[in-house]
Amino acid sequence: MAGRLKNHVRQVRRGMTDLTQAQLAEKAGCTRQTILALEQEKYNPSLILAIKIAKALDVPLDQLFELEEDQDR
Amino acid sequence: MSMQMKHSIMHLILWSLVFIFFLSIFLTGDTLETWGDNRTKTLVVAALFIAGFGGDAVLNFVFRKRKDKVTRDERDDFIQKQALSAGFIVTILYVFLVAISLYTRYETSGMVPAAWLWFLAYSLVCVANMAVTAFSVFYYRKGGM
Repeated sequence: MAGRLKNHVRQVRRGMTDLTQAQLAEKAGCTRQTILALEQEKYNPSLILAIKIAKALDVPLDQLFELEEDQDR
Repeated sequence: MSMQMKHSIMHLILWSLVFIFFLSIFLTGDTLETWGDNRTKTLVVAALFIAGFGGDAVLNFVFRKRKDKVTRDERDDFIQKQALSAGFIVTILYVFLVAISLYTRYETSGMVPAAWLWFLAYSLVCVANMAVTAFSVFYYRKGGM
């Protein structure tokens, strides 16, 4: 599959809210380690978790995630 | 470190200990030759595995899901699936290697001591448990603990 999922969770969490990773995890119903892995772009969330995180941060989904197209295509 | 990673590490330690004790019982003295007659060692090995599965049950209870706190989520499930797939391949390779080694060694005599089949059966349990949890720990470390 071409492309890579890029996310702005860390920027939005820090810039638009005062939430810590643990608080965001609690609101989204996941573990703090999952938020950490997401912010380090080591894990791609399911659509359900992505929507929950977007709701927890109160931003639209496409503001949090974007598909980065491969350069060679 | 996540609860599930802690669980995996403790599970790995538990089954590594069982495996070490099992090897020290099975591969010392004349166990292989006298397996069928040596009631004590047979019972000790059985007790060792009961202790292993008992420890497993205790760990599952300690690290069980809690209502008030999220201790496991979709990333844990994803890592577990990856670890199971990789552990499955290692387990199959282990069985293949042990079986082919026994075949090569006893090909001329035409008979394999039954103790080796018990060895394969018991060690398989340890190897499968260790392989899956070792891969879990590896994937947790790789994927941000």
